[in-house]
Amino acid sequence: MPAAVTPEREESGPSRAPSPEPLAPIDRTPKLFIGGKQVRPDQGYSRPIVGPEGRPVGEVGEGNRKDIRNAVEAAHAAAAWAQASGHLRGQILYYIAENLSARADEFAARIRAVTGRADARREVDATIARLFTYAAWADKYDGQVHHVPVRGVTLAMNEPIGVIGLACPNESPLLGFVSLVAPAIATGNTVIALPSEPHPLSATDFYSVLETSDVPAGVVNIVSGAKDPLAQVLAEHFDVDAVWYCGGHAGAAAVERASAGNMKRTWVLAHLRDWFDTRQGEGREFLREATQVKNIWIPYGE
Amino acid sequence: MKVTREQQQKTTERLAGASAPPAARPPVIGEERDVEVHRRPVRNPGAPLDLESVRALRVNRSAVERRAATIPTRRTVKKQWQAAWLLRAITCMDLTTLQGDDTPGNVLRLCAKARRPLRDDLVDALGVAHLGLKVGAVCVYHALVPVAAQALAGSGIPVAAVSTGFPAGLSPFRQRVEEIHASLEAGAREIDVVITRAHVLTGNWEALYDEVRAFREACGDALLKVILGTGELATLTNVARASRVAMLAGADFIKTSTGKEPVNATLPVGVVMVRQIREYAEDTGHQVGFKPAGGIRTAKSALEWLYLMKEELGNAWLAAELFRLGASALLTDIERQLEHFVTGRYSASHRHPMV
Amino acid sequence: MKETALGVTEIFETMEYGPAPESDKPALDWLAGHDPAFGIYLGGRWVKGSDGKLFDVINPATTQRLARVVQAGAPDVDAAVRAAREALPGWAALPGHARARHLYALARGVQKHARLLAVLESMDNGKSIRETRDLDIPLVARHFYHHAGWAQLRDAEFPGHGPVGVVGQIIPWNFPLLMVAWKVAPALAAGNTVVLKPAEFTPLTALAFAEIAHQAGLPAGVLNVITGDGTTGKLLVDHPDVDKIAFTGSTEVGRIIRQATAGSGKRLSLELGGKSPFVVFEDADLDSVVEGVVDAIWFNQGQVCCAGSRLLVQEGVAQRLIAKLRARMEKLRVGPPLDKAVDMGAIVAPVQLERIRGLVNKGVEEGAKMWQPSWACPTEGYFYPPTLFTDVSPAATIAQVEIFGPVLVSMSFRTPTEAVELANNTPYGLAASVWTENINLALDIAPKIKAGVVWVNCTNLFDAASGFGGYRESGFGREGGREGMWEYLKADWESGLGARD
Repeated sequence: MPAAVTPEREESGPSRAPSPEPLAPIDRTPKLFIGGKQVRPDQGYSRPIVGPEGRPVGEVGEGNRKDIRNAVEAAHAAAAWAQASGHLRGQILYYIAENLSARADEFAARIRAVTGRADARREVDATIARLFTYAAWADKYDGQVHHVPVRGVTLAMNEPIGVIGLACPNESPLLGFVSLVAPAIATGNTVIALPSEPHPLSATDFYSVLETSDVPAGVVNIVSGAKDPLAQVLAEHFDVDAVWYCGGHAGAAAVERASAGNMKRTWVLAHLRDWFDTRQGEGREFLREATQVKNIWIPYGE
Repeated sequence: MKVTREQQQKTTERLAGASAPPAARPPVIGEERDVEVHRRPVRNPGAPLDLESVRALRVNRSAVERRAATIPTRRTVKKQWQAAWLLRAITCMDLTTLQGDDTPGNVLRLCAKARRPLRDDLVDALGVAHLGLKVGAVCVYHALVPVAAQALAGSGIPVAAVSTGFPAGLSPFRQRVEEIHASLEAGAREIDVVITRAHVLTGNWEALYDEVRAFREACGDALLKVILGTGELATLTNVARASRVAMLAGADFIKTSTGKEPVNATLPVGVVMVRQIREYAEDTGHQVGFKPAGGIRTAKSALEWLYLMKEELGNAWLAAELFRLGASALLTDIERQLEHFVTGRYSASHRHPMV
Repeated sequence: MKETALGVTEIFETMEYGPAPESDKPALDWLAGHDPAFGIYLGGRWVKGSDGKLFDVINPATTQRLARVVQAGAPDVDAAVRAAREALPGWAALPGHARARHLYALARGVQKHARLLAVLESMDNGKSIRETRDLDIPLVARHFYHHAGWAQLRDAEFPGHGPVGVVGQIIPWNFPLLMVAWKVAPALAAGNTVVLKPAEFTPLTALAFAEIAHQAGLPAGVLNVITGDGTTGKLLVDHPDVDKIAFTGSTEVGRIIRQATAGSGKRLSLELGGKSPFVVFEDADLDSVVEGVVDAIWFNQGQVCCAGSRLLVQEGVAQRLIAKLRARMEKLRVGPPLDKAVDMGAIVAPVQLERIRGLVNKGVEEGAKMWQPSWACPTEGYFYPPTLFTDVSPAATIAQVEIFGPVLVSMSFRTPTEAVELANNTPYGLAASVWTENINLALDIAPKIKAGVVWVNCTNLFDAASGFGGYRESGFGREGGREGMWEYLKADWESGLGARD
């Protein structure tokens, strides 16, 4: 703790007059979010994040292989999330939206600071709406009953895939991040999210939103750092069930190649998406990628 | 194959003194037994009613139906194999008439057919005269037993009487038992009894056991065939449980139907019953026969029942000692198929002496 | 006549089954019409291979050559992909109803030639005529009918979606024509055009199907069929103008395809291997379980990706079940596949037979107890008897590796939780079978098993309306049903987006 906090200045004694300058802001410790806790990166490195004019706007933890390993362990430990009722998952997504909404100005200011975009508030509002979308879906992404030619039913269940690694897009750093995390967890998966590499601060700010929203530990894990190397670790990991990748061609190819190790599902979002467009940014496509269909044949008759 | 009614009767006589059934041999879990190699040792003496084993029985209908559906598709016999199998089917037939308008006339005709089930020229062409083909039994109502017994005298073909308030089985108990005695006195050597279906539907296995046990005692030396009336037992699990109770009570044969229920002998019911026969043989060492009856009209369906017996039970159950087909019109279709085999031409019913 | 008559008496005594052969004459006549060699089907025409290379197609039950087919090379694959690309705009632009009529015609065509296809399939693959006649071919027709429906309904049910494009499809030898149907029907229904490569061991029914499609008036280039071995498949996988690869086969090859297509932007669906658990609880109807096992592992000689090859039995009933299984195995009949009264036919090829033998030997070496019925298999042709291993530990090779043969390994479990753990103790996740008369237990266990298909009190049931496909290393994507259609559809708006770099 003390190592990361800016050391207190030598304050003058009571005999001296107070300094005319305002107090410096308290620096924030760059950490990762693993197993429901904010944890220091394994190696204790952090990386500076710069704003649109090249000025530093903050720091994030530099995640590495071991952080990914720990995050995957935490995500598996949270597997009970898959059995949580859709209603409960929906309630938690609503609660995330509620807590984000309470801090909308702060998140908008951050987006403005890191991207220089004027429509930052619009992105926060769209993010809240997106959380509502998946809170809504959480108890509505039903399976089917197929009509097969036996006396019986075939239940096509949409089951979560398991542990999904998410390499989030750079465009719309908050909205893009939530657009991947929300459908994955709404359907019962647990995730390791890699925030946008240049604009990760909205995601690291999001830790405290998750912490205050009853999200069970390990359901969402966030590892900041160099996206492609971390995505590669996720893609190679034998206990990760899927990887969604938003990024460049080389990174996508590497993820797909590495996925062959355990034939994990990969979803490469190869194109730049307009995350504000609900057709491109949300809906059944995401839900389908977050689930796999299990057909249970149940013949009957007494 | 020739077990021998004589041997059987001797053994039965030996056992006649002992009224209590011998204790069942405890099942040996995992022990492998090939039920095929056993000859039928004695009549089924039955065993004490083990309610737990009866209630534990569960039958999965859809799985049984899938098995039944592949019996006719997994096996087939062609050419001389088919001819031989059809001849075997003839020897396993209980040639039956159970109509309100039965008279001595049509029963005599039936008996004549029982003695000579196949035209002589076909018998010769098939080269099977030395087999002395005849049917397994002739099955009639009590009133026609004396006619049939007289007509079949010296043929070795037993007369079977349906009994115990056939087909519903709901007349007074004492009267039903008395019916058995009367038919035996009239010359019947096999008795096809019906059970009180209500005992099955209400799960009153003790009552069913006692009822069949009483019928068994009334039969004396005569072969006891127990008709379950499966078309009225509602579930295959009930069929399995009723089969087991009937065998524990001493049934020599279990039989599907009276022919009067809305649904008669079906392969799924057959699968369930023969599996119970197998289980009973493994548990007790006693071989019980099987008789599907009702709705079996074609040579093809007769073959299907034979495949079922061979596949689920083994060759011992392909002879009249342990297998009967309750039918009448079936014989004509078998004759037609045999004539086709002999001549290469499709036959016509009117070319064969009517049943 | 006299001999025959003598035969009748003997058979009357022994009550044995005799031979019941299905005639191979129509199939042989059809093959003779393609002597000295089949062509490949490109752009609606039959053409010779570019370099004249041919290979033999063998009947595994007789080891006789059935036909010679083309070993397609790069120019052939190019030509096929080009033909598919050229046909794409026209086919994709057809109204759904028009595509539906074409698929309907394919279904009809299959039914019209059902027996020829069944016999041919049996001769080419070695599987029994009963299976090809009663299962494979009817399921093929069913698949085309079902997908004629999806063609009709595509625009209404999948608004804003169109075809992916040109699809390369590579299929295995275990269900040759059924896999044609599973691949081709949804692809065409969605508006894609296809280059199909059947397995080298079993290309004949795919070629027959191309003839049927041609006769049925399927537009030129919509379906192209090229034959060849793995090198031809690789050419298709690597071809730059293919938009999607659909593959069914081993996990080993699936891995290679995944790596080969990485970064290519090609869509991919893979249906791969399995080591599917067959879980028997103590309250199950054990006699029905026995038949279930027959359908699970002695169906198609066990050469089934979703074969229930790991028998997991609750301890209390394990010995009884094994005894019943052995008795049942004694009654199975292995013989000429065209005999209508056999349960099992021939193994597809010597290489597969060797693999099975090798793994069985390994199982014995590793200490498992092997049991086979007392009767002997035919000596001519590639046959292998049904085989049961007991005393198998989860660590044994035969408990982990997909054998793809009529070999069952059995293990016991104590509790439902342990059953699930054992069931999931595999990298695969294709299918599972759960046997219990307790619906509470069945519906508790089914969701816990990692598998794309779970059969409760049944096994190896397939239907066009129900998606089939795996979890884990058994691949991804579904074939059949609404879920299967997504594999061949693309959102229209995707075309307007820019690449990331």
